[in-house]
Amino acid sequence: MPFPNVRLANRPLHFLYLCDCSGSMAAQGKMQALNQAIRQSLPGMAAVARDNPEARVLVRAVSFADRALWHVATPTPVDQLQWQDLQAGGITAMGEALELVAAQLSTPPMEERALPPVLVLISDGQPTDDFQAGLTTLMRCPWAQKAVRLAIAMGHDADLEVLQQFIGNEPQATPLPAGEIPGASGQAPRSAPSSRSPRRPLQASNATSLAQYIQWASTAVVNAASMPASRTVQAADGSNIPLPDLPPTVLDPSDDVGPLVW
Amino acid sequence: MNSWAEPIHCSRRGASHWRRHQPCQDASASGHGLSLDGLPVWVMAVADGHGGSRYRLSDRGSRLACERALALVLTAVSQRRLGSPDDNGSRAQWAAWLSRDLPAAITSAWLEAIAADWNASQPGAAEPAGPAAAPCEPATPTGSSPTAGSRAAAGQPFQPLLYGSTLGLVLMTPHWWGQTGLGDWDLVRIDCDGEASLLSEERQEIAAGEATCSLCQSEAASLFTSRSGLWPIGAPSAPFALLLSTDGLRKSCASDPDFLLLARWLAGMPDPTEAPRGAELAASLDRISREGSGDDVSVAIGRLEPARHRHAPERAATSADSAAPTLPAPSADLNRSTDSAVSSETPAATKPARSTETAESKNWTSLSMLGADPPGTAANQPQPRAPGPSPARKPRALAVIGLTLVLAGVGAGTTALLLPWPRPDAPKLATAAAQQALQQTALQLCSAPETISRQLNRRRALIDQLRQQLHQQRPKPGWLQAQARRDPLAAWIAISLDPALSAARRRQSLELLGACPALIEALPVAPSPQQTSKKRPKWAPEDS
Repeated sequence: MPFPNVRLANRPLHFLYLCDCSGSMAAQGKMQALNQAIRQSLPGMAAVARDNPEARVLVRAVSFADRALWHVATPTPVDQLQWQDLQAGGITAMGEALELVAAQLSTPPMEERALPPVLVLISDGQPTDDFQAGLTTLMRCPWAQKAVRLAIAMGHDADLEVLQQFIGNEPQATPLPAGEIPGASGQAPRSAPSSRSPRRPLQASNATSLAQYIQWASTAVVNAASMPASRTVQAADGSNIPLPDLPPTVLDPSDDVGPLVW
Repeated sequence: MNSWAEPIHCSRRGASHWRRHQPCQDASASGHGLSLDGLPVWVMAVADGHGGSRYRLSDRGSRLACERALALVLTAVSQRRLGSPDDNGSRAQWAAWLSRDLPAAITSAWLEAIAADWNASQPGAAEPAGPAAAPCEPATPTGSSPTAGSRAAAGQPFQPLLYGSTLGLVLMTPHWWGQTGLGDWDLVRIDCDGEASLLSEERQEIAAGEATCSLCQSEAASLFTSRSGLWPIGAPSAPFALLLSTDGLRKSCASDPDFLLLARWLAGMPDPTEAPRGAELAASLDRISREGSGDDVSVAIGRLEPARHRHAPERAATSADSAAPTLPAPSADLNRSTDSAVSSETPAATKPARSTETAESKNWTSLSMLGADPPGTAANQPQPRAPGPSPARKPRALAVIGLTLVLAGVGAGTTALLLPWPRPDAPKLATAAAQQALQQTALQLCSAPETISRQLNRRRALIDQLRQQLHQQRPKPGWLQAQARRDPLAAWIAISLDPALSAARRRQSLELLGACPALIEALPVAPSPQQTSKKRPKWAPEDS
């Protein structure tokens, strides 16, 4: 009997950039650096997508300044994406951006069998609208709860507290009771949080480190999210996907030197 | 007597696992045995090791889970009686065993097995035989599955987490079948008319996204409860199939309708002779993984064979037959991977013939649970009378009478017409979740009968309201399932108050749904027709 006419499908992996396009991004070449970093990361992301045919990597982008707008509204296969430069100007409607994304993270339009989406929030300042309302709306969506949420702080004026709220609380190390064998409870042994962790806002202080973080998110994280190993419900390490290590050059502060420091 | 064909099972390494040089972390198995009263029993299981570095021995964990679970089930079955088809007390005990005792035994045995596997891997220990390779699966790629020497080489302490795995299991007997397990496996029933329904899945509120319940969790045994259920089979029943699969199958399909269609094809329904077997099945699973999720894929398929000719002697249905078993002794020949070529191919002798029975009603499940045979099945057709009384004859006759009365009531506009629910022909309990909710409530109440009266007394207002509704309006569709979710005891009360049922039918229906005698006696009954023709009497609770 022939194989039935059923629709077999690889699982979509939605990758969403939320980019701060406020006026401050125009200063010190930050906007230019962000456009360049995203554009340069696309070939690597496409290569990861080719290596993981079971995942269909689809990219979208939201820009937020006075208003939040879809910069890339249609989920676009990464190998077909032509990045158009973002323009800086205005204030920082970050909360509205989260609400815009939230509207797209319910099922439908999200596919039931989609892989956990990857949300990357990039900002150099503080939200000027109701961020909490936007975050609340976003986190009501099951897909937002399942998502890998990363944040990149551009420069030292970025509101790290807000970005940490977007990521979620970093899991704290819980010491085992005296005499308990590690893992006997079925829980993953947790290590102490490091000072540089993908579960914290990644601080990019120049174009080089920004490019590294963008590259890491669009390749290593996409690779991990493309074929996630299942995990136990108790083994939550703060992320639905075990996040890959940060690139060594980023971990080393001595390398955190570029032509322009923000 | 109902009989099951030998289950088919197959595990295949996923496309992405091939590419990443990872082993197949799925496992599947099936086996058969005899109950203490000589009835044939089949069991099939699938397990899905979590994979990833944190669970790096989960390929062994999944196989050990299948092996230990099958051994436990078949040993337990060989020491217990299944009882007769009408033995509802025994059935309630089996339901409790599936949801409570067996999970505790499985998790304990699995922890022992993985600890032994770990200890055997210590330097100097002999390489253990270990779990057999997965069926349908070529040898594990060299270097991808840790050998004995390498498992402990990293100096890592033993952790159950390393072996983390899910487990799904189905037990099939002539009178009923049941499932238990934990994790993100799926169970589909495919009826003889080809209609497929998803009976059991991991609930999103328990585990979302890529997370799943696992044997390596400390509270693993309790996590089986929500996935356990026991389903009576009509005597005789129209053929149907059960497909148990790991999540790789469902996640490879674009939608649930595609998944159900695929399940129907894999199970060979409605024509089992056209189902993929052996190499064809393996190739199909490879294709599903390649064009779908890329994950490992496992299926185990059980199929209730078409009923034998009615006047054929129903062997093994009596205790006398237990001395002449028709199947080999239990547990000696678990169909594991080493006999993959055999186990993935249904022996010709057990292949069911093409069914000649009329296609059954879509409402068969609910009717079966209410003790009736589906319309259009052999039970409702004129049959040559078998010599001597048949134990199944009386319930069938009652069922036919009950159906006739209901249909007549509808036509005549009698009191039965006005019954809000449950109409015997309505699939009110056709969902696994509803039945499980009812069974769990019955188990709780029957294990502490002194609490039944108190629980019913708290629902006096509800009972009065329901009695009024029985004479005023029909409930909205889905009311019963909704009650089963919100307040299963309310659903029990509703079923008990169904005035379409005679006293005998009421008792039979409640028993089939898993109520113990104490609960049946305590539940309120519908007023008699004489009472309903007068002013509605004030209800006097049976427990007072």
